[in-house]
Amino acid sequence: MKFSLNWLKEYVNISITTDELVNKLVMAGHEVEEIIELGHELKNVVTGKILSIEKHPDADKLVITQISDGTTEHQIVTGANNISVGDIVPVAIPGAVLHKGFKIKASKLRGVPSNGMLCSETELGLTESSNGIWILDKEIPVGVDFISYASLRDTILDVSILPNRGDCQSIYGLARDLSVVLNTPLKKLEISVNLTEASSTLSFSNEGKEFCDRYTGRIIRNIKPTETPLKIKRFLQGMGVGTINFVVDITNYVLLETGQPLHAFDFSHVNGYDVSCKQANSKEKIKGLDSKTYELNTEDYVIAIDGKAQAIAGLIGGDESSVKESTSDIFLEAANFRSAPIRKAQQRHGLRTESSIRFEKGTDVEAVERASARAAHLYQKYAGAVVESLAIDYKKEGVGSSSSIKFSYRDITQLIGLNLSNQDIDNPLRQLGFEIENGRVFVPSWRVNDCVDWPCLAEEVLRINGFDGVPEVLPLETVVPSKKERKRELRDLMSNFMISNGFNQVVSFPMISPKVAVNQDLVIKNPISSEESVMRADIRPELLRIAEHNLKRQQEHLKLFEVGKGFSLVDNQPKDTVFCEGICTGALFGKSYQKDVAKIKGDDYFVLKGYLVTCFKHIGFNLEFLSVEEAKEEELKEASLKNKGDDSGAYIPGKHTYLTVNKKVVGEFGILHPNFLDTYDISDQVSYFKLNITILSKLNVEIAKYRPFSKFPSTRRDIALVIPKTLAYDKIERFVETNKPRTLKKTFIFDVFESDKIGSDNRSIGLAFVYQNDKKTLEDKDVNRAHDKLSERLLKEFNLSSR
Amino acid sequence: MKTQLESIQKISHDSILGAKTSIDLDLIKSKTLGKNSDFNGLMKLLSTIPKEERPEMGKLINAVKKELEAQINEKQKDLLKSERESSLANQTIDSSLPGIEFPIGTKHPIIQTIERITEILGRIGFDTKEGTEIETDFYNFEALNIKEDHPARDMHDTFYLNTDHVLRTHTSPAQIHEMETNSPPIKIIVPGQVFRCDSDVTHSPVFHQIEGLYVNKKVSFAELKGTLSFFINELFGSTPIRFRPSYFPFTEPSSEIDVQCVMCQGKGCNVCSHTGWLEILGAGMVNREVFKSVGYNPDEVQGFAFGVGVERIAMLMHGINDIRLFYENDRRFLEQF
Ligand SMILES: [Zn+2]
Repeated sequence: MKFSLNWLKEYVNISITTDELVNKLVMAGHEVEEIIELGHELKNVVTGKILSIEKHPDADKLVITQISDGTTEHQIVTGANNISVGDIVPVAIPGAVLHKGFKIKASKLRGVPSNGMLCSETELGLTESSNGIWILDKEIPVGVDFISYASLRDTILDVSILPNRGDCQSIYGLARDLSVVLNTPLKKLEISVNLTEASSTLSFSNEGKEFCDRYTGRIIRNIKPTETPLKIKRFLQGMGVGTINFVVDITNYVLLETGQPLHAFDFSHVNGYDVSCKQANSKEKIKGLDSKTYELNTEDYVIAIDGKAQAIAGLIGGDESSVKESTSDIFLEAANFRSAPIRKAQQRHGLRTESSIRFEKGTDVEAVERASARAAHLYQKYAGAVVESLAIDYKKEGVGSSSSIKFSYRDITQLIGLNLSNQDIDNPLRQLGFEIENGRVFVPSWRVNDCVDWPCLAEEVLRINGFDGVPEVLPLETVVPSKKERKRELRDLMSNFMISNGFNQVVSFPMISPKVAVNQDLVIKNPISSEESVMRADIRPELLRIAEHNLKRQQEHLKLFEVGKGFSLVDNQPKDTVFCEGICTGALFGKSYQKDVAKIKGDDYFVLKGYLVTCFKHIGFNLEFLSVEEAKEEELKEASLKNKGDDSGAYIPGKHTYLTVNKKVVGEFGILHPNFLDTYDISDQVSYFKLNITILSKLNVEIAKYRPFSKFPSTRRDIALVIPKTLAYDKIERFVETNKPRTLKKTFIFDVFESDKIGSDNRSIGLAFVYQNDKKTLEDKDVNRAHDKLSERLLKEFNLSSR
Repeated sequence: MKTQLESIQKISHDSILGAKTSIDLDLIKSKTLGKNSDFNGLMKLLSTIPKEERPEMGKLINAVKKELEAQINEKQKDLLKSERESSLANQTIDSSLPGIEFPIGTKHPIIQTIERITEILGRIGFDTKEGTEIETDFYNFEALNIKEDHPARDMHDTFYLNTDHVLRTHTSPAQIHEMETNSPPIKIIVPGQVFRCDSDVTHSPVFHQIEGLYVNKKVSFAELKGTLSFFINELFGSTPIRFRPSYFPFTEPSSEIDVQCVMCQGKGCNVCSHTGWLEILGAGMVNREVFKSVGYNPDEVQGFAFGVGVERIAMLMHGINDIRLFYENDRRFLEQF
């Protein structure tokens, strides 16, 4: 909210620099977001009277004027056509500087000397545009320094008023707080009115008991047609409020000054009728002052005259009963409406007005009468108006009774943690308008919405005394921390493994486009864009989007991972699952001039498989695999993985495998299908994995137990098996595992190849068996016996041949 | 015979010394001491000399043989050494070529910042907990004293879900969950993603916060000040900080904490909007209404809470000027941290 420094100075003496003032405001909780200097560049503008206007001999559109500044005459050529002899206008004399640093020098216009310039409001930096030269009031003396006369220089402070400080949403309110901060007296609002008896009594009925706490109406007659005084115009413009006409300008002026919204009705629309505050009729329409038509419903409160809505209460006045140029008699409304319904009305109508934003944060019920009187004072002072006593003076029962808080000095001292004397507490509170009596504090009317419990008093004491004196104490109490959450521990272990192995960690949004969402369980009702409108079930869409972004920018050989959440709906309740997911493209080691190194693929099925085994070893699990054919839908569901149908087509057939630990499905990996990647405009091969950390965190890791190892040499025997491609190696592995002799310590593959010589349906796998005895050196014949027996059983079991 | 031996010794000695390669030497060895060597011939002649001379002569021959063998071994060592040297000298590399780049990844700067913060606060006993992103209105607002018509709701541009849930607008709901499930003393921090429907250079619809909560029988603002001063000092070094009054519905008194702008050292620049200060924390004493909403007696417990904006701190520490860079995840960005 904008505040004019000149205006603030009307109520509180400010003798410090603007920077110091800003600092004081910030430290009192009034953050200054911007400092706007108005008219500070202006120089040498005086008021002048037009003595004569003659035609320019060589230009149809120019005239030659003679201007008097009281002592000297200036000849000035101008293109203005709204001036006449006798007008008083602002004159920039040579050496003057106008808005945006525009300098005025003596010059010639089409051969005629011109010593200065007649100014419009725009040239003085007051308005964006104007119609010709600014014709001033005839009363204004000639030859005065117009810049200070018209308060053209001002400093505007844009202050962010906190939601609980509705009382500071006005010049007077902020000045009141500032007077405490600066420890200087607050000047009073000037109110001196000659009151006349109310000429007519108006009835008022309040049908909005949950809305309207106070309503006053005053009749003000015989307001003479008046130009709004320059200073008032300046203050309004400085605070960002346009000037309309004298009557309306005064209501706005008093609103900005006191924070109490006012509304002026043309009295002819009110005279003789009943006034009421009531709920609108359903579908009732009203045309507002902004010329827009609002459709109302029964949640809206209106001010009705003779039953017809003439204003949306607290929000905007109606066009029909509004003040016109010709209006001389008005009905001035000052009221107190509650913030909650105003807030809702603002949202309903998409409208925030100077009035509604003040009601929204809560206004001072005691300010109603004061603001009405202040406006009356100004109508009388400037336009000789006849001011009547209140025609309507409604106050809901119980409203305005003083509110008090029970407190103890010890509690406040303890909460702050600083030894304060009672004086240290009393002084700031008293200055702020609180009254202290027998362990109770009476809250000033402008703070009742905000101060409801005693810690508020501690807050005020801190705010005024400052935080600097508060000591810094570390809370020494030791709270025994819970065991490190297993989920976090696993996440850290996995992240560290991934990072050590070349993966870049990414962080993405959990909201994705419906185009890439497999399901739409959880949808955002008010997304910023539909691209971010569905809660993701897993991280894959985001990883691929990030891959696409990088690949399009020549960032190849990607290895990316994220530990993040996926969301789903289970029994109509949102559920989140922590996943670690990653993708690889290109070469494992990226570009390398070492040819052997460059050849190793990163997007390869077996590279990823190996990575995952190692990763699980790192975190203490033995990773096993489950083929797509063997996996059951319930297992996948339990692991928060997509069911096969929903995700069909995502992987290349045959290059997709589920991961298990202790027979429990914990994730999946594979090579993504190029058709599927078309959605992302990715043409590189992409390998992908997904691990469910939530599930893994529930699995036990056994503490390793030592097993003695043999001190005797081992013996190796090889066998080359010719295996039909339809037979998966893991079947052989499992058979060996269950049928192996006691001396077989280790089995590994030393060779895999395909060749026409063994038939295109076959594959050759070279297996090495390592035999070892724990107690003695094995003799060849014992090894041979064991190896031959195992080989024979193996070949027979699967009907294989060896080479 | 003795003369013969001496002559053989002389010739052999010369040829051993004259050997150029280890292969040459092998040939010389077999020529000198092998089956068909003159030396071996001499051995065979030993039986032809008088019986009494035999032992002496035998000794002599053996001594010469040993000597020659030693000479050969010595020479062989020298030759192998120099051959290895010259072979290594031929296998030259340009040692200035770069080494193989082993893949090493990077930790996202947001995660690094969270870890840095949780580590610092962990040292003074704050236990890290997890919260949930999807919350009900009760946890996100009501229980935190942000009632339905509270103007503070305007400060939270809330995303609503199709299920009567909201995406949490701050990490503060974690306070409520913690207090509902545990009794004081409580000393926790909760990092996590939060959501606001608001987006520009300095605002992202998704960002990270770290919530802190300390609840005990008696807790003072001085302890809040001590905790946050310690935290900021550890994070930024001894940078000036200031506490200024603010407002949050769930704390009273409330404060915002600024650090002196790290970009301009307080002189004023674009980053700090020419104020010389940067806001990095919101904090305050837990509002008594919040205690009531979790069933605590506000006359028996007190506490403080604070919220840290992670992105803001990461941006300051790394000199990042656009919050969107964090979520674009361009590798050229990620690799810098
Ligand atoms: Zn700065």
